[in-house]
Amino acid sequence: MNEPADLTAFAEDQLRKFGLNPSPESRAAILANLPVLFAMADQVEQALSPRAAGLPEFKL
Amino acid sequence: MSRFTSAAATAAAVRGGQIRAAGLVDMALQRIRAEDTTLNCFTAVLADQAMADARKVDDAVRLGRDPGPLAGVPFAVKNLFDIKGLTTLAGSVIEADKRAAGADAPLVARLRAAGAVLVGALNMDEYAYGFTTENSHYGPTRNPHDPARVSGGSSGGSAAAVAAGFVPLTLGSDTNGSIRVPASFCGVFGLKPTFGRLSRRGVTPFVHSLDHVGPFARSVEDLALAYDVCQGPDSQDSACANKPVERVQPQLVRGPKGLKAGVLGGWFQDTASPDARLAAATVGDALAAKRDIELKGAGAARAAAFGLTGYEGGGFHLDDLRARPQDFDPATRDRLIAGALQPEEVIARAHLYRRQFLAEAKALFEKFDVLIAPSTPFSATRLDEPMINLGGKEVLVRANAGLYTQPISFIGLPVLACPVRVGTAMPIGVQLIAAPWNEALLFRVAAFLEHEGTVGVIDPLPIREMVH
Repeated sequence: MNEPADLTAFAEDQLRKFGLNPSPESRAAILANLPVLFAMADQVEQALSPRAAGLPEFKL
Repeated sequence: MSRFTSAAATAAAVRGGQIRAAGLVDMALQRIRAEDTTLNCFTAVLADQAMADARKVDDAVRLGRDPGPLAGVPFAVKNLFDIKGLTTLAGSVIEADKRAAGADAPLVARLRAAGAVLVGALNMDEYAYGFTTENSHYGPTRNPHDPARVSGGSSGGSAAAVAAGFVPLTLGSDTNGSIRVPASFCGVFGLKPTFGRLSRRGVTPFVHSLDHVGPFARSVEDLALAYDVCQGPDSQDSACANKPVERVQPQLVRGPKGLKAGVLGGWFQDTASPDARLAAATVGDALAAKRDIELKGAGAARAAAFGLTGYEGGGFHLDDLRARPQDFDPATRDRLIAGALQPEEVIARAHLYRRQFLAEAKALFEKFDVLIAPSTPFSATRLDEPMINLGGKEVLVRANAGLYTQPISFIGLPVLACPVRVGTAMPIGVQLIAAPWNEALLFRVAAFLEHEGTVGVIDPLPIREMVH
């Protein structure tokens, strides 16, 4: 699981780090978006093969 | 000449002196003035410049000079392409405060050098982050087939302007599906070339590692004409490959003989509407394609592209997100900020997965020359209905219309998006997908499908007959 146990504390830490200070409404919307992103991150992690690290850099 | 006359026929008539470019461009400008109040495709119309350029084309013809392969063809570009003398909006009000561009983007310059006449800049989702072109600053671009419906996005102005017959050619950009989604919703052709094929210089970035640019048109021949003019390396765009021009126009008559096609199943079918499934199956049947071909990990590829988009896009706009967050569309702003907050290790895994997923796709291209998938899970939705049921879940159209396009652009494969003639109430398109750098093969297949009637543009009803 990629989602932090305390999502609000994670978001506040990250917002401070980036110097962002959104309004309360914006904060609520950001917090609503984060679980979706972490669920997607879980999906990628589960699909990632151990051999991926050995593949060449992305090049077409 | 009608509003739907092709670019190829228009250029031939201008080059042959049968018609004057100035007259053609004037007609295009009149149509835009009369009808774009309904559709809202354009954010700027360059009437004086266009008329002056058209007269130069006519002068060249009169003096016996070559006016170029696109002589007198009106065109327009998504408003994230630089146009000399015009501020590049990228769908935002923040950019509106910035200085006018000092030069045309190379692709705009190449089209103009080929004799095409730039008539304006086109509406889009703010900073290209959306699939519907419901722009809160400049208004929504409406679908020419039903103005109560979205045009798709983020290049919605580009697709709708071609579908409505305002111009036969436009340019757009595609990071996650922003050419292919509006092409499907508006029922026109669109090309998302291989990542790095066309220069992105002078184009406002969204996600550097995923951004592509390409043309829209009403026929495969016109799409090929525009693409051939746009090709060529650009040493000043670090992502642009040092590839020679590989003209596709000579490929249009070759046909698909000997090519092996497959219709993608799984991720590309599970949530598809009956119309989308029918479109893919119809094209598959025309190419004697194998059904239910699996591209393993497509769902995870879409997830990785989704995360990467928010992270890179958010990072790019951090200064404005700090300084003037109130000037963003709230829906864009909050998604950009959330994306920027993702941990670095999540993004590192997305990049790693990109290698793995490309390897999966390349393995599939050892068995197939062209893969087929719906461009969108559904056709254009109503402007007043932001949600749609997909696989039993209510999801936002704005964020989810690119479910089938995102995995493909994630690994930079070339895609020719075609409107399929399946008799559905609203248009719907399919993606013809090839291995990297195989655009020519896609044009062969699309030209065949168009010739035998499987794909092709259906003209919308005149706007005045739909709006009461």
